[in-house]
Amino acid sequence: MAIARDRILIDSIRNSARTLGIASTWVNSRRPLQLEEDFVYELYVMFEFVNDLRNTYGVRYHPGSGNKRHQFPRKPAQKRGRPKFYIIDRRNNNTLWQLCAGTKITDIVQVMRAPDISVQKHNASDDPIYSDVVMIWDAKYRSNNMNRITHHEFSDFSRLIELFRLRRRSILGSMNIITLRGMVANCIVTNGQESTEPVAECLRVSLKEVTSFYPGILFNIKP
Amino acid sequence: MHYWAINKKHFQPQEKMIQMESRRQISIQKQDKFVFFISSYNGIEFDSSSSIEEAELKRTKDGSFLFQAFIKDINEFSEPRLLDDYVYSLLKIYRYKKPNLHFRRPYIAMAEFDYNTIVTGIIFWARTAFGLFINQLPQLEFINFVRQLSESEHDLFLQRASFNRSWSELRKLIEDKYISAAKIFSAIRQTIEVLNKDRGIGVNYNKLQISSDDDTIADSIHKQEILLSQFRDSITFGHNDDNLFDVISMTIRDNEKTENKFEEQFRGLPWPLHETVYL
Repeated sequence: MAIARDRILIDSIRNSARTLGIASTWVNSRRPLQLEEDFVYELYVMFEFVNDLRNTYGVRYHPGSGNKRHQFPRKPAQKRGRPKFYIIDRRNNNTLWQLCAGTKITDIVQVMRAPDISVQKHNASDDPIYSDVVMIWDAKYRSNNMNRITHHEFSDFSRLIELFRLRRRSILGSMNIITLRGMVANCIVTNGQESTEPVAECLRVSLKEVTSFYPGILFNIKP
Repeated sequence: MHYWAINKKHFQPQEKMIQMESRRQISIQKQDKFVFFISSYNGIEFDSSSSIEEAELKRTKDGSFLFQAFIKDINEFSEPRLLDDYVYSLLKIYRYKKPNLHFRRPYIAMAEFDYNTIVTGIIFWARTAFGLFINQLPQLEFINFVRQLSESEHDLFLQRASFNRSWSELRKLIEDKYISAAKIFSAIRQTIEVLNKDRGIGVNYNKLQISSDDDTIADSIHKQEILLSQFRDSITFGHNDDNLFDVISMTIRDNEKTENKFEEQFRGLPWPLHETVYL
């Protein structure tokens, strides 16, 4: 009898392992699936944001053009041709902002940088510059959710905020959302834990850390 | 005394006798023990065991050898042991992807330990789970796993740790990486479903893809989500939908004695990797 049960168990293990073998590689490109590359987590964060925006605004998906019209960037990409969202004032149907994922923006020293998520002015062009940007988010996925935001990541993002002149230029107050209210700011969003940077430093550089941002868990915001 | 796996097709067993003609000498001798195997659509199957009572090797006219032996009562296994189930439990095997290659010849020498494994039908669960899963990791992830272990659990390499521990580490990686990924993908799907209710915002979930500017091939979020959900579903076992990984751990614990025996035998051997995973 023991052997019959063993056979069922071993078949289950084999089947599960085979399923993992298939799922752990992207179907089309055959690249290994690596959530640490952040772009999938970035989409998750973006759609959570869109979902919350819908409570108070109209949101319209705007496909890009050409063959990338429904393709979000795997890594920093041109804004032109990529999909984005328009955030719309429901009362008068005016576009208030654009919401972009992973697309490039020219900073104050003329270098192109691509924040994971950016909110841009309604009239920002397809070649946006820093003054078109009102808020940026950085998505950081941790396969071990006990891992902290590192000093390195904090510094990098803090510098990005500076290079887009976003310190103390937050749109807090003008964007009205409910669940993610505290996130109307420049945020590092992660399923991991907060950095050890003091709150005063977060305030000084206009940066918030949103931690434990993961399905079915309550997130925290610092400060 | 030696131990053998004997292919029934070549030895034509009848009642209490086996025989085979060969151009080479056959070294099976009196008192040797053996298991019979056949090649079926399930691969190699071991179905019974016995031992040699008397053996004789004669020269035939054409110069080849005729082996004839009387065998003791055949012990039919209650259920055949499929080689595929024992790939990670037999010392003999190192071609993990094509274990049949080890059984191409009419009769094959085995270690006593392997013989006992087949006769008793006991599986080395820790190594089986470890082997089946590790060989399915993408190469890059496999390298990451080794690198990560060498930093955080380096004694695992230095002290020839048990497969039980290696399996536990691998389980952790799979859960942290892929179960967690499955949840993120499902969350994206669910959120888009909500967004498309009522006055939809116009996202066609099935068309959403990921690509770089220089990519000619884009990856589909929707397709990947299905595969990851299938993987998540595959980690349930039995009528009560127990967690398969928990069942494996429990099975290892329940069979502590035999698992330890296996660990002792396999200690110091390299990880059971498919040839393709080797660098």
